[in-house]
Amino acid sequence: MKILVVDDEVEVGNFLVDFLKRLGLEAEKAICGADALAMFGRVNPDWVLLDMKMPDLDGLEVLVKMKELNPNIKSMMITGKSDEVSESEARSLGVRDYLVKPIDLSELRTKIKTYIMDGK
Amino acid sequence: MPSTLKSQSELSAKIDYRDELEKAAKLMIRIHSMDTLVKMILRTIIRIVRIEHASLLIYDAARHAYVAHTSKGMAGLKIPKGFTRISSENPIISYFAQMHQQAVKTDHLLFSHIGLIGGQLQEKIRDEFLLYNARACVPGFFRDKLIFALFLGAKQNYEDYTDEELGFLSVLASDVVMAIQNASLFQSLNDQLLKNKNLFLQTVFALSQAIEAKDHYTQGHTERVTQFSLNLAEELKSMGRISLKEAKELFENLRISALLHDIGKIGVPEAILNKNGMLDEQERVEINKHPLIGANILIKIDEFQEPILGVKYHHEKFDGTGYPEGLKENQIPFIARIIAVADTFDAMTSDRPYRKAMLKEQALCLIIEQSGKQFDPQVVDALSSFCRKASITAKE
Repeated sequence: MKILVVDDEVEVGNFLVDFLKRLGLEAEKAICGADALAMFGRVNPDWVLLDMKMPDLDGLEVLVKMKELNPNIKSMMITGKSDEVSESEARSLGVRDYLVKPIDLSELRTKIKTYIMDGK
Repeated sequence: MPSTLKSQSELSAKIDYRDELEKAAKLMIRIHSMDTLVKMILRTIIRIVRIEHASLLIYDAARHAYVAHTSKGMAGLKIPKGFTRISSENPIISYFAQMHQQAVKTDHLLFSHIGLIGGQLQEKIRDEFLLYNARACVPGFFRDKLIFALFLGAKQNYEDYTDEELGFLSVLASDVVMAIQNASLFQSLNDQLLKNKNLFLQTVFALSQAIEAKDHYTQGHTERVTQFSLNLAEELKSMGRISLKEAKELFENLRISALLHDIGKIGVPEAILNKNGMLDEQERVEINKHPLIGANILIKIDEFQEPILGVKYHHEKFDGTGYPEGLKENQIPFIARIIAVADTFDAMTSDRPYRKAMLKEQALCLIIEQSGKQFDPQVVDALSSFCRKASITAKE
């Protein structure tokens, strides 16, 4: 399983990549929406872990473009506030779940195990 | 091993912990910003104990959780600020709370000692340590409240923490407790001060409204004079007549003083205040008492000692022919000289019982004519400069 982490905060990106690697997953990070799209073809991820708010494109916009490149791409979102996500729009784009900052790491791990590792 | 190559633990044994703690204590006294202090303490920990990362999660009452506040250390391992939280029911938090309740002194929890805890909690705690890639966790109690948990990574040499290091950490942790406590005390003190100040200003405003209720012809006069006095002061400041240093205090006193400048009219009979026509000699004497009556009303209040000067002397004239004391020039307090101009200008440009309002230009001319006689020339300068700017804006 290969995961692309997209977050404009470098420290968050580093932390998430490291966290995923410790769980035995392959992970790479992109630092903005444009960067993520540029890397997408080369990395060819199965999953993206997306920050909802980024300076150039928002998470959902990035996802729409990724869907065009790979209709099977699956995703999870991280948001600042729960009301930032339009639930229906997110679901229609195949967003499996989202976490609200500050996140609980055990919740993140559970979600990663359920959706990504066990494919539920 | 060659004798010149000492192991990490031998090297760290040479560290003077007492010296480092003294340095930290000095920082505490010098630095009042909690964020800065916490950052410096974490940096000290990393430098002295040589660990991969240190993250401080502080209790956030609104979230009922401990939120990553500051972290230092290696990229990827340190927890980004504000990114993670652990709930109050987290096994590590529960463990510290339990130990505290049973009065078991617990300065730290080591990953290598989790096996001693036993039971179900043991596995859950191990799991949390792994999530945070931690080798030690240090609690921060203030009285009976656990206010933070400090997660510490592995030492760079992968050896376990020594007793000396753990002692050092628990002293620094209590420094962090103090820093957080001080910061929150300071914050609530500031909040209280601000609240008191707002209450004070609202009271002043309420008091100023009392006179408006009595004197029908001066509707809005007090507020206009206040605003206008502040405009003049702003003008005087930009003309360099008020230094930046004294400006803040002068503005505060001027605001209060202008709001209350006519408060003494409370002691003047309503029939005189609202008389439709010219006042006779006796009535004039009565109404001229209002600056002194006002000053007497306010004299008992410490905060009013400066503002009283404006209340008492706003009818003094620059050439010494005013009342109540016939002061002249610099004998007249500066705020009184400012209010005098603002007060007269507003009186001239609003309707009065005995006459209609004048045009602003007309009023300005009359005041300029009185420069150096009734009014302080520099305040008159400020008025003409302000009116010029205002008329330019009005034309635009």
